[in-house]
Amino acid sequence: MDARLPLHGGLERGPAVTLTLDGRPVTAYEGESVATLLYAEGHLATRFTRNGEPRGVYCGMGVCFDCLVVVDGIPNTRACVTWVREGMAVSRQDGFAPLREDG
Amino acid sequence: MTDASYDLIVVGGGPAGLAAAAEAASTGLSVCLVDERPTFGGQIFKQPGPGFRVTEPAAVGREYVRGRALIAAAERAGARLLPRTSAVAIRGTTLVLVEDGEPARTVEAGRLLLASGAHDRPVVFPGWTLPGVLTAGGAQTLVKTQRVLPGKRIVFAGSGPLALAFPAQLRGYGANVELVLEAGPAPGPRDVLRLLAAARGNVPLLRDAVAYRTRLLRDRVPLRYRRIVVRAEGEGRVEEVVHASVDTAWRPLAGTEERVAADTLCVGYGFFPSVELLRLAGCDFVYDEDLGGPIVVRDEWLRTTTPDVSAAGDGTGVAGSYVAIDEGRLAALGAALDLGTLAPEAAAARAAPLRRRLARKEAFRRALRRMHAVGPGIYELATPATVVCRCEEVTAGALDAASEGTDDVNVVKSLTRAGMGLCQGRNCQRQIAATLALRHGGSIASLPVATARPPVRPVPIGAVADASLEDGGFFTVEG
Amino acid sequence: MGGGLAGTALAYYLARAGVECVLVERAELNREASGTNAGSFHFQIALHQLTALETGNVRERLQTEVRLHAEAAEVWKTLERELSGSLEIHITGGLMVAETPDELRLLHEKRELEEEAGLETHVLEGAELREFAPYLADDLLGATWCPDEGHANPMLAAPLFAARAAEAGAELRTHAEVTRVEVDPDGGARRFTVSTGAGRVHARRVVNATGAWANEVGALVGLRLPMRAEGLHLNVTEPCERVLEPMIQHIGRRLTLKQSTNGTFIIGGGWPANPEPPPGRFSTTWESTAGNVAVALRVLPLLAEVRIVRTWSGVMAFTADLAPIVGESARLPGFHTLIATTGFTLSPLLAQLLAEELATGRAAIPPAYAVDRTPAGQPTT
Repeated sequence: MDARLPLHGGLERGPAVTLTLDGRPVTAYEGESVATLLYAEGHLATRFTRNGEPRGVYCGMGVCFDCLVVVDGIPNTRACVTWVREGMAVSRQDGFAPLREDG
Repeated sequence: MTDASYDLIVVGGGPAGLAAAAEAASTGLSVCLVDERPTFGGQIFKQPGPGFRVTEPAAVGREYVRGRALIAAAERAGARLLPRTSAVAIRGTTLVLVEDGEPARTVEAGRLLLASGAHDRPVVFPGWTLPGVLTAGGAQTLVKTQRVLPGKRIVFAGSGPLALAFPAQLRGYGANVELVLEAGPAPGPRDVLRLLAAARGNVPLLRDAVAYRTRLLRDRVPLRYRRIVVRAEGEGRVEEVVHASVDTAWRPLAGTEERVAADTLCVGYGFFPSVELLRLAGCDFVYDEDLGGPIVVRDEWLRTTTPDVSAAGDGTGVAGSYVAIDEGRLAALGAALDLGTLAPEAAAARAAPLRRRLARKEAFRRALRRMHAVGPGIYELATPATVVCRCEEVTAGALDAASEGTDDVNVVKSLTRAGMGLCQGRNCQRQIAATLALRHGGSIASLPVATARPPVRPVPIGAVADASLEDGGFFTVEG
Repeated sequence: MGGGLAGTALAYYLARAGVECVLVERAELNREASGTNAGSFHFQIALHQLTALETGNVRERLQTEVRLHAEAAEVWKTLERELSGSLEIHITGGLMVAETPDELRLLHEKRELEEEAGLETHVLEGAELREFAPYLADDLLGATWCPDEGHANPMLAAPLFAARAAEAGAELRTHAEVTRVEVDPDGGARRFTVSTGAGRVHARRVVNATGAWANEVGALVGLRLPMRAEGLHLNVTEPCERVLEPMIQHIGRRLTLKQSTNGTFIIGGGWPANPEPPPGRFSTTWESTAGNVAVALRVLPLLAEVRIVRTWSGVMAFTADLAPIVGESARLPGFHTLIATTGFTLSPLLAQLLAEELATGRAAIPPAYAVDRTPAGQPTT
């Protein structure tokens, strides 16, 4: 079963967008969060901590800062409150992600 | 130096904030409503992600429709709605607002209404950091607003009036709920009588409760009372959930452990009000574990002890959307009264039905509360190896060691870095307090909390930096 | 009197010298500035010390100060061995940057002074600076590099001094707020009677090491020190990949900036915090946050997307001439003061010097720091 639920009852996903996840092109739908994309792609862990522990979506509403990913080069971005965009580059985070040099 | 000013700024665009904005604007106040999310509605009326298209509102769900109506009412009344905007600092009635990707702005108000809502109580147990463990609210958000399932075999562990609502809703969306664990007792005949006695004016609440229960029964989801999760196990993700029977203090009883295979554990042991802004504003609090802990002190118009700062909704003690809406309206009427857009008689007349309804809800809540009092055992599940501070990866053992020589939460934080990470302590500070209380005796309620400091949300330096500000010039030789 | 870094270090050096010693602390050890500062070693001459550089006596005063800093660098280098314990000392070196030609000229003058006084610093400019510190903003004109600067963990320093002091025979009394100090001129070993919340102590000599509260304690014996307490603002960011090894300061603007071992950037440098009624102490302000991080961002552009997670405030004793106040009062013999001003950096050294004076009777403290001096720039009264 796909993690994405079939839609009925008056709701439609937005248009498909193409973005990259860990460098690989993937499809998501406008209106989806990066967390949703990760669930749909079968990744429960959004990151590994500095101690190497896997972490995933916990609070799902932007409070816990555990579902961190790197979005367009910016580390420590919350997957659950970040919305997919055409061309976005998402990577699962490993420890500290490098800082973006062009600041 | 201010960038804008309003009569009333409402922080938090959930039921309380939306209702308040509409009510206040309708009296002629200039109103600004901010919320950090891209859509209004808060948790309970959370709207689908920005991009989803609604073709038939009624079919999307009752909560969607109620939320949509509140948003429309606030807009119609002339309130200015600012999404993606966080309130990060507060002084008097001046707020610092940061819109995503924009520089910080200072906004002044005649009155502030803080309606920051609540978030799920983080419960610390071995395995709570494993991917696949998520809060009930998190699971609900994913399913309701994103239409994605967090897993295929879901165990729900929780307590309280919403404990059945979440798994029933998940079932409704087609999720496979394997087991529901309720820490409280099965409602006995006396509980039912008490609830019925308090039911006058609360029919929607009762109707919901009955519907949730029916749904679970019909789908043959096992529902087990007086049992809590004691740990989650798995390699890199949740694979098994271990649960046990508990006594009335929610302490596990020896020999009652059972295991169930699961890929998802939803945890819903109630909510913590989001009080960071209220703390920063300097408001007084009392402590009530069953309402979520620190409860801000308010008067009959929901004014806090800090001048010109009011508070409404679940951020003042979790009571649900019906109460939040009425509280939002009442607080707005209080602001209109104080700011002169409503005469005292008019304000009192408009407030009277709200107060009556709130009193009835309060009676209902009291009846429910007897069944769902939070047991102190909820704070005692961690083992020394359990990570308590998720951000800084501080274990219960390390916290306990740091607590040996001190009962000061600030010192424990400095020694261990617990609570100093990105979540700013929202996940772990209560557990740290519990660790101190357990070690030194006394109660969580009586421990002084860590000092509130801005920013209330992490905010990029590029958005904060203001090169026009000069330093205070401490370092000058006197004379 | 006072259980911060100055008091605990003094207790340690006194006890080790065989002096019978009691430390009284109003609350718990290391709770105030000693435990809440950023733990940096400031050895280079700072902006505030350079004002009125052209006047001769300032030059002299600075020489004294830098010599002291060089000595303090030596103390910190050997302190973990001395105390047989970890203080998480990291000698990372420190940079002090210049933005304008005037500031760059000041860096060169400063370096000369430091060299004369025995502190090693180098001025880096242009490509050399770019190569040495590629993370700095491209248009900074120069920076001095002091290889001795670094930091320690302020949560560890005073507690370790206290533990070793107790082992050497000092008595440490916490929750012993000093409420009264009586003087009996003929009392000898019982010259002073110090009443505290935890009993009375008789002593031949007393030392006021209460930092920002030194005037409240001094007032008990009618002494007034030319100092005031101020709140200082600090910002802490989310943890990031390690990119910045040295501490960074600015010769012309208020900035200290470093990346801690856990990855967070700590940004301070003397922006004000607001005094609050007790027990609020000092609250942090948005203006200090915004102004302070603007200077940091100017110097280190990669901070733009790094998030501030917390702010905090510490209290600091500011003396009128910004120099330490250490030694015996001429008006009240036996009553000593120990205020280090740049408290974390200098307290261990000044405690050591004062302990030497107390134990041997030989002068060890530079006369410029005398309690009864007429501070530079102070009108004589």
